[in-house]
Amino acid sequence: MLSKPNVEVSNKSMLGRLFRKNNKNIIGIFTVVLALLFISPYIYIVLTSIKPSSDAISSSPTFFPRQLSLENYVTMFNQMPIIRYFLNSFTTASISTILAVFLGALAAYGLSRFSSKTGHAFLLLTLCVRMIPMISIAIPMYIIINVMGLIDTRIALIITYTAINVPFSIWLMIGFFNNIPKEFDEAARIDGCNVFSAFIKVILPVSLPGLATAAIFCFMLAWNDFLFALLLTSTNAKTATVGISEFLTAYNLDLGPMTAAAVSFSLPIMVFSILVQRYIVSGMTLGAVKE
Amino acid sequence: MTKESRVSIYFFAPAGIFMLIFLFFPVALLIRDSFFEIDMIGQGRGAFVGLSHYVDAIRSERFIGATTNTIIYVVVAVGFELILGLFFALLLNTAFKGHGIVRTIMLAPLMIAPLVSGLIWRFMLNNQFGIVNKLLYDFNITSSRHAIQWLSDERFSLFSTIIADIWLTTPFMMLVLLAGLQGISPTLYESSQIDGANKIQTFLYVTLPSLFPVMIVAVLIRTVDAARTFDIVWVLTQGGPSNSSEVLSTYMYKTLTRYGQVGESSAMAVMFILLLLAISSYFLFVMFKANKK
Amino acid sequence: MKKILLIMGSSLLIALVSACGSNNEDDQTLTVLVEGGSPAQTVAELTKEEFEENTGYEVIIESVPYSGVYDRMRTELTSGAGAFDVATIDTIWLPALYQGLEPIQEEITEEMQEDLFPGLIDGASMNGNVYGLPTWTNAKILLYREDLFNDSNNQATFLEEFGYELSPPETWEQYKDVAKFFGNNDTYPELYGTSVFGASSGDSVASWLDHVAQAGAEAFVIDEAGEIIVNDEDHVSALEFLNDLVNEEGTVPEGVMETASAETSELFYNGNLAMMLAWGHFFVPANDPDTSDVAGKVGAATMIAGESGIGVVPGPWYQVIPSSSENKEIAKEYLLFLYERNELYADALGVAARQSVFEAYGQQDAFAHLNELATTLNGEQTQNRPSTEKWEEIESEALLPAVQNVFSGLQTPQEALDNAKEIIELIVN
Repeated sequence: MLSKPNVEVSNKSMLGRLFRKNNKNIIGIFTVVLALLFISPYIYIVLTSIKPSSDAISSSPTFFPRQLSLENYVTMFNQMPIIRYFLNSFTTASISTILAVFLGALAAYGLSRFSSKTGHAFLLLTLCVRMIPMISIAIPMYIIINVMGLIDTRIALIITYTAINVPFSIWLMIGFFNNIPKEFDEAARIDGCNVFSAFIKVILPVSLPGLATAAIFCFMLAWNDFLFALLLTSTNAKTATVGISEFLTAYNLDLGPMTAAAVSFSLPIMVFSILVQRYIVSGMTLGAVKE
Repeated sequence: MTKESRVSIYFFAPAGIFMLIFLFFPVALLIRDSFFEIDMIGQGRGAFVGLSHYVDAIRSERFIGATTNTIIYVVVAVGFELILGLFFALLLNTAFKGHGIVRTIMLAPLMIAPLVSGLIWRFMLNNQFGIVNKLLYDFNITSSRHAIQWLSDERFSLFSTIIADIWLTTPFMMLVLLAGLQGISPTLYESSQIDGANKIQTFLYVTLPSLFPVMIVAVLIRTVDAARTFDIVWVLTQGGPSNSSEVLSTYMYKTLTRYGQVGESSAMAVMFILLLLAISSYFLFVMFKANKK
Repeated sequence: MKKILLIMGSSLLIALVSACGSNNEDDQTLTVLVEGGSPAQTVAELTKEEFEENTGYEVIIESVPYSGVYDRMRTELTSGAGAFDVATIDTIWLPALYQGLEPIQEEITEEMQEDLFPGLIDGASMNGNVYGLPTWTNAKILLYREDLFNDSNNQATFLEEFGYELSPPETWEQYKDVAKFFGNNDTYPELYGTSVFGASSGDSVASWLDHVAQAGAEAFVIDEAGEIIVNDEDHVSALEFLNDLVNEEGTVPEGVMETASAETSELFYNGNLAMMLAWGHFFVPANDPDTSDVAGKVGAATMIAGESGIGVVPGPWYQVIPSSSENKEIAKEYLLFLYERNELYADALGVAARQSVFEAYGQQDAFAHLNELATTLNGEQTQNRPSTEKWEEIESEALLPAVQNVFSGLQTPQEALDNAKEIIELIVN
């Protein structure tokens, strides 16, 4: 008899727990549905890219393909040297990333180790650079690149992207280097390293997460750029974004191949970003928020 | 000069020289151009005209219109992104089973090029071939297949470009705010529970204030980026119809490359940069004050 | 320490300098700028080898998107870089670019002038100099669905409703009637009569100007005396004509403000349009089963006529030589070389600049549109846009907003064009 209330209590708490657990599951399902809805535009583009071309642009579009076809991908390859454009995008983005991160890390190290006050100026500088409308430095940039005889070369794009990315990477790296105790450098120098080799051998390896974050964002900016590639290249160094935009001309709407190119362009970077997502947040906020 | 500062200069020099040539020099050219009458091909730099490009720009309806649109664009886009991002971040913060997967799914648009986002939405919002109007009709939300002319009705065009922006960057807000939420110390929640606060009170008096600095940073970065937006608007509407979705960056592009008015467009760019600087210094000031507290 | 930095700094410099050198040294090249995917690109690629065999000059083809051609030319001429030797450009860009181009009238013989369509050389002339050699010319003509027009049911119903025989329209009134007839036809619920261009591009302005010509205008927007005539009777009535079509329910596709050539042709290929006023060369893809669902059912007719007869704004493209080019002589040779091969443009796009090519190709069924195109181009009201370097600005700041304001019902044609006149006055002065 005495045990009865106990049972009730335990029943109640069990129900409560069950309810709370369900509650969590409901939120979970709700969120998953919302998230799927949110990325449905992208799913739609992926699905459109594997429709036959006559269904890809149709006056009564359907979400799911009625028929699967790789026609759009074949057209994409036939219509333009898209592989070369992708390679251009990749080489310019990766070389400019390496340059920007290296130059940035070098400068940041100098600033963080040997002069403490200038570091703060780089938050402001980085912000200022982010405020310049790209279009407005495009013409002076064109003239400079042209004087150097670099129009329509990948070097032109590499220079431009590096220039835009260097302040960002300096700022980000200063934050990381400030967190590395000076004892590291001293220990390295006692072992017989000079300042430069201490930087290369000791400091860079321990700041890999920071370098990774900087690299991801420098790469993204270069990879996604449209404006500079449009102005500074025409044939040899044309990048994928410009190529994709060319599927829509005054005479033609090649929406099918356009979706195929858009998917091929964005899918690899998406997979990559999922692999490196833990580095992303601190980079997005210029290092102001750490995960 | 001490040895220390000399070493510091050596380390800084490569990046410094690079920035000097390829970043500050173009900006200096930009500022100089804004004071000159630069017209037509081959004739190069003309007369010094002082501030007249600035005065002309401020007086022109088109510049004011584009500025207004830019402000609407920024306020609406960033506002929605903040609300939606916070909503998703709070949902994800409940740490249900599989929240990692949702986070990964939501990451997708973040990495898409703005140009591609513009193309995707142009394709979906198209009046004749777009799926959005088709679905609205199929679900009986609208009465006709062409009820809402997203891109060609001057009442909606600006909002259609905003939709593309919100879609592209809400994940950014979500990720940053989520990181902020996870950074809030659990002891704060515990003490508010001891004080007997309910969930809404906890949210208002613990979560929001702790999240505030992170929010400021996120809003600042998004404000600056949204104000500069070019690719999305250019691909979706080119600023039309009837200039209803013209923002500053598209208007500057037109004056520069289409109309060849280097001086005017440089003046607009300088004013634009100054305006953004003013706004962001305000943000930084607010953040600084909040941090002090 | 110092050494390392010195090495790094100098290697960076060397990398940049050596990259500079690599681009300039080879003199045996001719760089041509074309629109990517255009007939100019196709023809340039086809003839590349032959030109190299003839002259020893390698042709380097740079292709950019449509608006990129203008933007690149503009930046190129502004900076005087000498990056291109020849460019193929749209006629509307000539007035804004000619100051940076090389005059070529000495290369054009009388024989050439006679063979080219009338007005083509005029279209490239400024201040007594000729700055471009036409590669092809084009105009909007009427493409229609033969199967719908030949259907005996349709013919009977049309006769009953409108009191005359159904046939490809020749006048504004007929055009409106036929568009209304097919647009509100219970037999074809998915079909519109025709389309109206209102998208944010020059296409919409050009299409309105076609009708301005038909209404009897002697000049577009600005007359010879420099008077702004954009709000005169001809300009207004043409805009009213288009606006009537827009306001007639079901006649033209909704979303006028995102419709231009590309969208219209896509709708036509999908079987949603009974007629379209489209660039002549669309006849070829419209009858190609790979691109079009209505292949084999498409007929071509001349552009419709207004009160003053047939008229269009021709859309020729020209080859030009930038003054900054370092290979002007060989560039001129290249222009003449391609003039001799003008029929290649007909192969690529179904258009050309020489009347002799039109005549030869018009015989073939696949190029049946060429005869209609030739008649349209020789139409009595056919004329060029005014040549002003401010055209781009006038078009997108004054004319396009006027057209769009009318179609969205914000202003009447008269109000919109009065307003446009004020804006143009500000631009011109």
